Amino acid sequence: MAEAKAASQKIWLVSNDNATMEVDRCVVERSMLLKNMLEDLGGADISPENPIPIPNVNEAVLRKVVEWCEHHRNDPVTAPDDESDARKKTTDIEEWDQKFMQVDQEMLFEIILASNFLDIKPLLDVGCKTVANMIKGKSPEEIRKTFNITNDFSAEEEEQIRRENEWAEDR
Amino acid sequence: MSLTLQPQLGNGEPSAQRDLTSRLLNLPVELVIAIAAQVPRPDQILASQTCRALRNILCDSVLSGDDHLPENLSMEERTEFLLHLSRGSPCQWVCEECTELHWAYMHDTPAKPLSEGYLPCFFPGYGQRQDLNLHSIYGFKLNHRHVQLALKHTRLAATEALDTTYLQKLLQPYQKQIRSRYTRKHLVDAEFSAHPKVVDGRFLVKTTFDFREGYDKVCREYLGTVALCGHQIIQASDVRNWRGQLSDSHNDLHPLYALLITVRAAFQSPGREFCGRCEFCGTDFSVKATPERVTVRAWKDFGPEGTTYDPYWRSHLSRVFSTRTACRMAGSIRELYGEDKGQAIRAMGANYVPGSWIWVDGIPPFGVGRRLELD
Repeated sequence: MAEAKAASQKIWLVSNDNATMEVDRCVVERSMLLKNMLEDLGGADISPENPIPIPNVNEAVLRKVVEWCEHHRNDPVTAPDDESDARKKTTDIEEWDQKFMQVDQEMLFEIILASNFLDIKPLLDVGCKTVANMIKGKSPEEIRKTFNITNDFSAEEEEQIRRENEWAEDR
Repeated sequence: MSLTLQPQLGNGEPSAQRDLTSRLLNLPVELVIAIAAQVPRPDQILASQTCRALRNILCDSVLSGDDHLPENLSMEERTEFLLHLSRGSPCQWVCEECTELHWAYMHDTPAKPLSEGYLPCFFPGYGQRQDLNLHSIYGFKLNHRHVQLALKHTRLAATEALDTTYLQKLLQPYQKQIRSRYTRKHLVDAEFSAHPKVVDGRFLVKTTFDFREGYDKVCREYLGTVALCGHQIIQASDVRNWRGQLSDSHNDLHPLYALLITVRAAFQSPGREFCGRCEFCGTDFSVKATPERVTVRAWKDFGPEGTTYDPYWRSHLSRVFSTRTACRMAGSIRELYGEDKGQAIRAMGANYVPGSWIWVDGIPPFGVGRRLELD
């Protein structure tokens, strides 16, 4: 009973551009950072007038993060020991998450940074996999184009890379 | 002086100047490493060849020691590396025999493939080491390099002003006249044709056997040998011993008999088109028979831009009997190819079971999934 009450308890978050949003406590607790904070502080003092500040995360990004947490509110929490294995084996992303991540690069990297800051490992994992999928199957030139990377190798470094790939050429 | 690009970093920061315009390079180093860890090794190496910052971060973390050298990759990883490395080069293809890039020849097509003796890596027994590179049917010798180059040229033509002359050659329809002689007395004329097509980044081929009356009316006994794919093959002797082939011991309708039973059904109901699918390579096919003409059509999917290790390519090799790639709906390749009747087949696809067939009109002749009663 007390647990159900705690889950439906409302928490208020404020973005770095002063947008306040009301979120269920169980949704907020997808963030290990906020979960630990609420457990330490109890959360009773949190109100629309006294929201939890989320520095470095603007309103648009915070809304996206909250949207993800809402959708995944009932997912089992991964034990810290399991996560490294489960996360590294595949770059498969479930369909809803794939659609969720269909955003421009600016937003994608902001979501990754926000999930890293808020310690939402599954969201960070989806973000990293999305970027990994953007790297996969591309030539160096295509990777540069995708991520706006400048080729800053010196002539000697270019020559070394050419030598490393030399075995592949018709002889 | 030998230059090394091995990282000379302290405390996780790359020695190279970070590119401030790239969002990827502006992530904390531990996040770049977390992303790179999710990428296969060939792609990690390719990413390390983009700029100094990624080179330093990746060589320091995920590609330690000599792991950044592509020559240390496994055979399968090497072909993947080469495929991705040469994505922007329309003149190169990956040879899985010697795991090298070769130059393409403009006159090398499935209809008139380059003689293996002209390949730079040719050696006696070429092609037998892996036996992965060729799908041959009635003189249409589809080599994996043709698939690679057609898909690459299609992609590059869509984004760059690439001359499409060679692409048109690769996708040129192929035709061949076949004389099907069942006995010394009986003769049926047939035309085989293959129409390659690239749809949604996949290489598809539609093949047609068109049997017309020659000295005799067309009947199932005179079809001779029909090889639809690496798995669905009707030998003349199968038809001769029709009753024996589908004896009680084969009453389970083994997936290898899908073509055989579909042909038989077509002869039992002249003028109606019967459809089937190979459970091993996913090939959709249809058979329509009249006394004057029998048409056997097939729609094959050779997969996306990949290596010879790609499961869709491999599924077409006669010795591969995996059903891994054939899990799509029956009729889906036909539909992808752009045939209007695919929609009806697909609608029935959920009820499709190995050995059964369905009407193009959408009405199953014997009840969906029901075993056939053999005569």
